[in-house]
This record gives sequence, C-alpha cells and structure tokens, in this order.
Amino acid sequence: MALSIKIDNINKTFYKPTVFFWKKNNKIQALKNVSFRCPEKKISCILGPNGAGKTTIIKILSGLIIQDSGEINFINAKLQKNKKNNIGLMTSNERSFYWRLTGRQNLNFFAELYGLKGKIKKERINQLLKDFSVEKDADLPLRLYSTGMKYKLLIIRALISDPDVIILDEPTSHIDPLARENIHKIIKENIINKNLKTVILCTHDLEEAQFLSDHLILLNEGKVIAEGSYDDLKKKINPNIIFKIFFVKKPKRAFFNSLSNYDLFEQDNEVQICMDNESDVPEIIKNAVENNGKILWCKEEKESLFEIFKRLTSGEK
Amino acid sequence: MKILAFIKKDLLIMLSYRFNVFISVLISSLSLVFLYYLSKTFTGTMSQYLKEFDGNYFSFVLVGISVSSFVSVGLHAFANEIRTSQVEGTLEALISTPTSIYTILIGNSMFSFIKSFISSITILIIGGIFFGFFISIYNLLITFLILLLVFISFLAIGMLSASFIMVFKQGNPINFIFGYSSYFMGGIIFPVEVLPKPLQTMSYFLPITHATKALRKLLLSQYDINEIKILIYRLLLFILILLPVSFFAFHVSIKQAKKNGSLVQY
Repeated sequence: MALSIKIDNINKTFYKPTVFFWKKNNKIQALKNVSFRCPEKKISCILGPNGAGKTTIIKILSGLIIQDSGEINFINAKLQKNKKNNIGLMTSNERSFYWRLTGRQNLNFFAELYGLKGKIKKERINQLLKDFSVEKDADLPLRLYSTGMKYKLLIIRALISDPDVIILDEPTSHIDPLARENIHKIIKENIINKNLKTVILCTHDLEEAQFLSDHLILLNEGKVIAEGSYDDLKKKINPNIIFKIFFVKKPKRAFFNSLSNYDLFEQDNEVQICMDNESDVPEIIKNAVENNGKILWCKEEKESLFEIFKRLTSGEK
Repeated sequence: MKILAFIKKDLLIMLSYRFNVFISVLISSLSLVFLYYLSKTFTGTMSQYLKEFDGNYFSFVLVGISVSSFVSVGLHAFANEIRTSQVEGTLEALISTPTSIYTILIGNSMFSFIKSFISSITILIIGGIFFGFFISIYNLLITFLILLLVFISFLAIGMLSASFIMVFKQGNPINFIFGYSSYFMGGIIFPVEVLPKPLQTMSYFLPITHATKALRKLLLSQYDINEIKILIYRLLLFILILLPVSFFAFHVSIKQAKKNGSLVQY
C-alpha cells in the first residue's frame, strides 16, 4: 500500500500554568513517541478516548502546534514542499466562519487566502457548492444556515484548494443522525471515490470510524496502542473466528461429534463455533447438510470496534 | 493580494450592519459640531499656548483629534482582532491557510486603519471647508505623508500589543504605556507646553507628539515642509526602532504560543 504520510516518534509536553511562570514542574506529556503511517488515498482514522492526544496530533499535522521532537514526512514531494496549500483542515468549529457574510462570501475569502483568483476561484467554489448540494443557499448569510449546512461548508473550505490531504477533526460531532449519514456519504463519495484524497479522520465516534476508515490508529494516554485495518486489530486481540449457524432443523448428533476439535456453544437452534481458520467453514456447512441439518442462516460473528477499542484501551486481552 | 481579501471581508461585514454605519457617521458629525461650539466658548480669549495658531482652539483640537484615531486603532485593532479571532474561532481557520501570521494580523486590522485614515482626512477637510483653516493640495500631500508615518508607528505599537495578547491572552502593558500617555501627553486636546517640564520631556518619546506638532505647523501655521522636517525625521526614527522590535516580539510570541499550544486559545 502506497504511503502518504509517515509520522515518527512525535513527542509533545505541555506545562500546566503555575502562579510563578518560571516554575515548570507541572508537565503533561500529551504525546509519547507517537509513530504511525497514513496510506495514500485512503481514510486513516485516529481513534482514542478523551485526552488521548488526538487533537494534539491534528494540530501538529496542520502546523498549529510545534512538536518537541519527532518527524512528519509527507511522501509526496509536492506536499512536503508546500504543506499548507496541500493540506485541508476541517475543524468542527462552525464559529470559524464569518456569520455576517454569506456562504459564498466566506468561501471567496478563504479561497483568496489559498491563492485562488478570478475564474478559477469562481468555478472551484461553484463546483464544490454543487457537489455538496449547498448551491441554492450559497447566497444566504451564514447565520441562517442549519448546523448540517455549516458542517458541509466546513468540508468545502477544507477542499477549496484541492489539497492532497484532508484532515477531518470530528466532522460530525454536533449534528443529528440524518445529517451525519449525509456527511458520511459525502466524505466517501466526494472526497475518497471522486477526488482520491488522503484523509486523516479524527474521531471518538466508533461507528463513524468503523464505517469510514480503511486504516485505524488507536491512541491512548498519548501512545499509539494499535494500528492497522479493522481486521488487523481484530486479529490482534482475538485471532479466532466465531462462526454462527442457525438451523431450522438441527443436524444429527454425528455433526456435533465431528466438531469435537472446536470450542462449541450450543443454544436452541443456534450453534457458535470458534475456529482458527475460516477455510474450515465450507467443510462444516457440508457436514451439517449431510447430517440432515437445514440452515436458515450462517455468518461470521465480528467483534465490534467498540469491543476492540475497549479491550485495547484497558489493556485487556 | 491577500490583504485586499481581508479588507473586502471587513467592508462586507461592516455593510451588513447598516444601522451601525449610519450611527457612526452621525456620531462623528455630532462630535465635530460639539467641538466647534466648545471652541466658540473660548473665542476671543487668547491663550499664550495657542498664539501660534491665532488662538483658534477648534482648529488646534481638530488636528489633534484627526491623529488620535490612530492611537486608538493602533493600540486596540491588532490586539482586539487577534483576541476576537481567538474567541470566535476564525484564527485557527486562518492560520491553517497558506497565509503568514503577519498577513493575518495586518490584514485583519487594515480595515480599521483605513477607516481611521479616511476619518482623519475627512475631519481635516471638513475643518478646512466649514470651519476655516486652509489646506492646499501640497499641504494635503504632506498631511498624507505624516499620517502614513503615524500609521506605521502605531502599526508597530499595535504589533507589540498583539504579542502580549498572543502569549498572555489578557493584560496588555502597551496600552497603558502608549495609550493613556498618548492622550495625556501627546498634545491631542491641549498643547504639550501646558504640562510640567518632566512630562514635556516624556512626551518626546511618543510618536503622536511629533505628529500633532507637525500637522499643526503645516496646516494651521502654514509652515513649509523644510521647517517641519525634524519632526518627520523623529517619526521616522520611531519607526526604525519600533518596527523591528515589534516584528521580533511578535515572532517570539507566535513561536511561544505554537510551542505551548495556546495559539488559538483565549
């Protein structure tokens, strides 16, 4: 998998303010040797409980905070050379717009700060407003926008300079489920599928992370505790597969006897089989049918991201 | 130019508060009328301090007021704009664009400076047209030059002031040092010469003192530029000292704020 960003050994310590400013003994180490990779044109999600260091990492990536040590390498040379033009930051702060101006006037202003001018600027803004279905309300003052619309505008602003990397900091934190679903769809369709951007998503919403992300980075107490795809993380905490079969008619006892090598859990018409390897599944199904079993459904029981998250953050195996 | 984008943005915001525009113009006009009647009270009583200006207090104070708006804007615009954008949350969005922090700082305050500039020139022109002091085109050009130097001096002071806001968020000694003293010792409402000698000496360390003197000599006493060039040099000296110090202080404050993560905090 091609890489877009390499983050190596980032450390960041903050000092709690004291009455005497020369005393700096109240240290908070926000990030401890944080290293991770973000694959190109995929969504990488930084996940962690409150205080894990997610926002600090985002702020370091977008240049708002300087790290004490460590390196951020953008693999793409263009990105390394002109970071700010090629990174679009979307914060969840809807107050970061000028509410007396219209949506279009706000976008015009920010586009000019990104160096866009004249026809190119106009076309870019119109295209984005159209893609995000905000076109008809673009000339209304921002104070009349719904929260969902303001969030769409926040994403548009992050995309305005057509950057290679988009940082989304809690993109749906204060919006209703329908608007949230809409934003998720937009992120998938407009940012990933259509525009092929590398996205760094920062969230504590596990459902959002599971739905959107290709690559997960789990932070806890300033450290990366796990990194990889959902399947990688799942394997890390539990390499076994739990396979469930629901019978309309249960098979003969011989079927159950043949499963003596597996951990088995049987309740009414449902059977749970714990196995090391999913390649055993076809044989088990065949065996059930041969023993007169009638199957209504069967599926692999996946451990939710919540379970994985809970176990990894608590250090439980 | 990015500064123009800031000016346009602030103009649009100002125009969106239409009633406020109307009230501001009304208040400015009324304050001129107020000053006119105040000066009429003293007509005929020749103060020794106003001899140079034919005893015309109105013209004297009008020039002082025209420059004083720079004091207020210079001291407050930068610091206020930084603080407002920290509180509103726009600073984070601005900093994440490829725009230097200096452009953000100056751009955000430029509209206030332009308003002061226009207001200063308008006050002087209105004074010239309606209340009888002479402004030639030549004088107007030199007036522009002096106001520009005052503008740059206070831009530097404003940047120094913003450095404190960037690090300490609240509590700004620059306002105290340059703000109150400029109003008190800068010769805005009354001549510096009425003050005790030590305060007169202190007033030499304020750019406003030299600006008000230069403008009065130019507009009210019809001095030539050669006769006021020493005052212009002093303003230039302020700029030469203050500007690098301010840029350095602001640079250090930004670095400090980025280090302790408080850049967008308030």
